[in-house]
Amino acid sequence: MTADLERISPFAAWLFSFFGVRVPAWIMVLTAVSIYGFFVILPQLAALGYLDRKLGADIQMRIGPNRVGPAGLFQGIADALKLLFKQDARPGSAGMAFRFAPILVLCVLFLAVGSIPVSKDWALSSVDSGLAHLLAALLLSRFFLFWSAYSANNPWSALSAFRILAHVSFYLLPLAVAFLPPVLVSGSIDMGGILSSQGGWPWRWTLFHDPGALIGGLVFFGAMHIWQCRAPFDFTSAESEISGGAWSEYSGARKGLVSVIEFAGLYLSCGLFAVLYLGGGNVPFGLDSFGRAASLVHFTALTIKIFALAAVSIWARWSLPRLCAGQVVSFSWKVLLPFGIVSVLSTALWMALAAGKSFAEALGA
Amino acid sequence: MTRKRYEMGILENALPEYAVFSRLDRLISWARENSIAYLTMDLACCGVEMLQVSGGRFDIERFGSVPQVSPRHADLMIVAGTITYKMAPLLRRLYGEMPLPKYVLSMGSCSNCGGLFSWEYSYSSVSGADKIIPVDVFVPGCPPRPEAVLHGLLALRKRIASRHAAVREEAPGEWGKERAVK
Amino acid sequence: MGQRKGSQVMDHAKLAEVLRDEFGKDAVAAVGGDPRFPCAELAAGLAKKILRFCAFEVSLKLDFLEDLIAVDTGERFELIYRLLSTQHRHRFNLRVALDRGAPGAAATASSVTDLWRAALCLEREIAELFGIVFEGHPSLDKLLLPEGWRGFPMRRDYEYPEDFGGIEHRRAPLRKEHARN
Repeated sequence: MTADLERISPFAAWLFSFFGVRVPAWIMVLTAVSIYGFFVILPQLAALGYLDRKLGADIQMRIGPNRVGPAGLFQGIADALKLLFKQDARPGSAGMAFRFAPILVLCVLFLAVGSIPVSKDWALSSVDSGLAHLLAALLLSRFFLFWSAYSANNPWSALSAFRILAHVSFYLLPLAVAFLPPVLVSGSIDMGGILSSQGGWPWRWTLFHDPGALIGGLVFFGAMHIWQCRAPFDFTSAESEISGGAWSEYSGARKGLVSVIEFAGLYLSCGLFAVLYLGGGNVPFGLDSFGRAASLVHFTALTIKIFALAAVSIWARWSLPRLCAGQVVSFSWKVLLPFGIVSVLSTALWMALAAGKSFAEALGA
Repeated sequence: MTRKRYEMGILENALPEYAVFSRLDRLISWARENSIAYLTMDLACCGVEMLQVSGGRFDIERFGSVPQVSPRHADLMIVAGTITYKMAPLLRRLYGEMPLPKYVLSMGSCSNCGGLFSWEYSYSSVSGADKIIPVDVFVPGCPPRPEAVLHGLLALRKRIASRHAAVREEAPGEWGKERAVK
Repeated sequence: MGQRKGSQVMDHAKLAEVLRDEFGKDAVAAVGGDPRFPCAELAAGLAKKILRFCAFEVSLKLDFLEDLIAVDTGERFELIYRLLSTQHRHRFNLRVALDRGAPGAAATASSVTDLWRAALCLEREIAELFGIVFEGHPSLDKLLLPEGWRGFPMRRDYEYPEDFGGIEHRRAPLRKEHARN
């Protein structure tokens, strides 16, 4: 039983290795998911939200929330509580999916978020078909988003819904292509395998393995951010143009889900980039002296990387003007996809010629 | 189909006034006054001052207020500018689309009382937003300085704080009936 | 205003002369009015012909309708055409008098949309505010007033409605010091 649990959810196994009790596997998994969700992911999402507001305010030469707690730290709590106690308005002509489709978006995104491994022990869900499962979850999240937009039965939401469909059809290919270089370099499609094939030092990361992987990393970062419709590519829910687009009819707690979805998407983009290309939580020094707490070190390293990447993403979001739908489409076909294909081919070529050695290894490091 | 709608959700008048629920009241009011999302009803020149309030020098986001464009996302409607008879039904409709609890801040002379265009001189502008929707705070000025609008926001916070979140104090009067969703 | 080389500058007196030469002695009445706003009054029957002449005649070449102003003087309506020439860079104000028509009936004028495209919107505004019907205008829809507005607000005898759309519309009577007559 424990071996099975190790295979499915290393985090659950790690958590329950502290206790000698025998509980059914499903209870262990549920507990592990709750604890991981509440104490690992949710605080990070809240911190990302705070970073977004304060960094964005700084970029716009403002101050941002500073009254609500010490330096505005409780702003997210106030927002969440307020939204919880708002009237839940539903337009009369909305479809039946109006109520539950946003929650489905969040569920599927959390499927993807949970598959990001922090370390060998702290992977919430380790699926054998790692990246394929991830791609399916990402695609499904956009389709549930389309469903929630379309069921709102509102001109703005309908516009947004069709833009979401267009966006999915244009950006799936660059995204899928950008997933390939780490698979080629590490030889496994499983996230844990990709993580363990990278070392701690930067020259052992996938990003600096070979020039093809470098290009692939940049394509991946771009494609993931555009997939999550982060500004400046947020033409699907352009707030000033189509007044909130997909979300314009949602009020109250469902509107709060919008923020959670946005920051879960940001966390996903940055976390995946960190794990696939930047070596995840791997650190250059040995961790035998830490024992069971080694995963905390991994977690710290990964969090630092994720927040650095998130800062770059937030910087782009608050500085750049929005791109038109046509410009986003041409960016996909003319820039991302060609560079993605070039990166895959050159990585494959390198792997064949250099017998799998990285650039640093080939130089003798 | 008649469905009872509550302003405060399931809590309204369903809880006795014990001390622990007054703390809950206080918590809910704290949350509501610290996160007032406002609908930018930018009708005329006052709208430019309202944009400045969310700008760099005056920054309404310090108080947790963020502008929203969809009425379903907003708690507060800042009516900034002259209201014409052509715009009036749309104003009423957007107010109706805001979910409860909702507040209105009337900014500038034109929406307080018709201002420059009231009484004798204009056939086309409504003499004040409170002829159409119930207003909580009036901010005078033509246009009011952004500091005046911030003062209005602080007055609104006091008003939010002074109302019980879980207990409706007064019977719905005229304005109360206006606030209830039909 | 800077003049182009070779352009001829005219003033209202010269314009009146040119128009009288073309259309006869009583085509243009005296050029009068405030010196800051000189106006050449055109005979009502020949107004459209004169305006067409003004638009296309080489020495005048008044190809830009800057503004179309309607005035209710109490006895009659007046339409003032402010015309500008982009070639010769002179501008003129031409005034045409209209009969008020019976109360309740509309006054009519002929539209100048075939001479200047700007008249499309300008005449719509005047039609809804004064009730002057422009014959020959493609579509005299409302421009500014909301649907269901009754009466013509810019007329002197306009009475404010009691309410519009359920919102009260009481207006105080105009104070004496603000009345023009």
